[in-house]
Amino acid sequence: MARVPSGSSIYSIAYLTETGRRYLFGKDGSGTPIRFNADGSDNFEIRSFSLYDSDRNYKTSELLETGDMPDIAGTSDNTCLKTSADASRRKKIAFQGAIPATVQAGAVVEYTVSINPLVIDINSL
Amino acid sequence: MANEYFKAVETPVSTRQEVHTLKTVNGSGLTFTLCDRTDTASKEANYFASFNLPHEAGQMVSGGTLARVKPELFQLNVDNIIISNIPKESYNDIIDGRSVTFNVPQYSGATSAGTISAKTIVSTTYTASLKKQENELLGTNVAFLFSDEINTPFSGTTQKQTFTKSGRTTWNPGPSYINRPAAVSYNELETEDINSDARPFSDVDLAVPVTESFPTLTNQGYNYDVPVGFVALDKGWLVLTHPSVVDNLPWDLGQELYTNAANPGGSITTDIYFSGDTTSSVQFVDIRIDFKTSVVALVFPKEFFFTTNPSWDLEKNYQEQQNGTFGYDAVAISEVGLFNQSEELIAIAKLDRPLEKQYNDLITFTLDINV
Repeated sequence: MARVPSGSSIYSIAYLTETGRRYLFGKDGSGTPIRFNADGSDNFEIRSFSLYDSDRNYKTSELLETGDMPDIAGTSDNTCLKTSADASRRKKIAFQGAIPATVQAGAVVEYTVSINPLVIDINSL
Repeated sequence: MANEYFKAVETPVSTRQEVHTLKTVNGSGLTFTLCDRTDTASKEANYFASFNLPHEAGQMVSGGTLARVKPELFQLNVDNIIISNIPKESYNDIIDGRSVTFNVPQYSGATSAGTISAKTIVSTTYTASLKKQENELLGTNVAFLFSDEINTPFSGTTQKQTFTKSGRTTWNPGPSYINRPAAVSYNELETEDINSDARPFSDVDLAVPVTESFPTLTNQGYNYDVPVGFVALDKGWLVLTHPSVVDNLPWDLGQELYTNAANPGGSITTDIYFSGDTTSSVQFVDIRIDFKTSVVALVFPKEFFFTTNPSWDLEKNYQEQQNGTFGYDAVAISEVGLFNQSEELIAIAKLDRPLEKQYNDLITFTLDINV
């Protein structure tokens, strides 16, 4: 008999990035709001999510606790509009479980990230 | 939409939410400043313009349209007002216009130096009890102040005797501020309602002297509630206009805000506070309005279990996958990124601690974006 796996419900506040704010309020050179594209699609609409483990060193046995976590910029004022500078998430968790094909081939792997690409040679591990 | 790192969110839901918080301000947090519009050499005279009050008596004459249609507003046309500023740290978007309880220091007994007492002044709006009101004279987001010690509520009838107000004996019946009666405006009365409040006109404490024949000779009696001031709800200012309050403030018993020095003789009438909490305080309900978009991100078993974090044991977990044994190490989620259709990062949530996820765990993230 199958068992229902354990579940967690997490509540958190999401902070708008500079990109988010630009789409919410910004205009182009002609004064036209940039939020909507020519086809009517909404640049501010949240369509997908991804997960990161930027605050975990898996070589250690202990996790950071409440109060230890580095915060993101621009959130000192917890009222009104929440903002944050654009951030590039480097330590990504794959959604579909499949590791990149290049890893499966056992070759030198380049994990594509926004900045400062991280290169891992799995043969050296 | 989904690729190696992105998964579609559930349909976001946008809501408007009001958060109400009872606040109290007293002591040096509540200052009083006298403004005299006839003293054209004083900077305080500018506040008459700030609050849309007539900057001179002749700007609102008794024979004017507004004064005749709403004579209760004509009672705000005074030379001296007292203003009190609620510190901006004490409220968010707006103050609930039905909720203000203002204890104003007053001389006990005669208007002379001596002991201090207080008048209790409460807020409400005209015609209907509202959180805020738009007014022809004062503009948007205002409520009016009344005091039983000046005039009790109008107790006659309105709208052709449709509504009787005879049960109204106080502006603050309690236990909650929402039970406060709405004030009655002259234009709510029809011919049948005129002079239905039985009190003698001589007992009415007017701010601006008018005769019983104002605004019309035929409509005599007490036919509207006389305010003692008003609240600029979105600016956080309390404005006292009635001379029975304004002229009875014991300036000489207060202290200067910046020096905490006493004020002998009451010569200073700017930024004066009173240390007695019961004689000088204001209590109100602060309203914070959040426009919230809630995004739900579902993480099912067999999703999000393989990380690019270089400290993760990639070789071991790679082997787990190759072997089909699925004994992966847990990943520790600390951030959730929210993206638009172009996979641009629109918002980001940071957890207060890393959340471990095993291969078969189910996690629901509810992420609020507040504006």
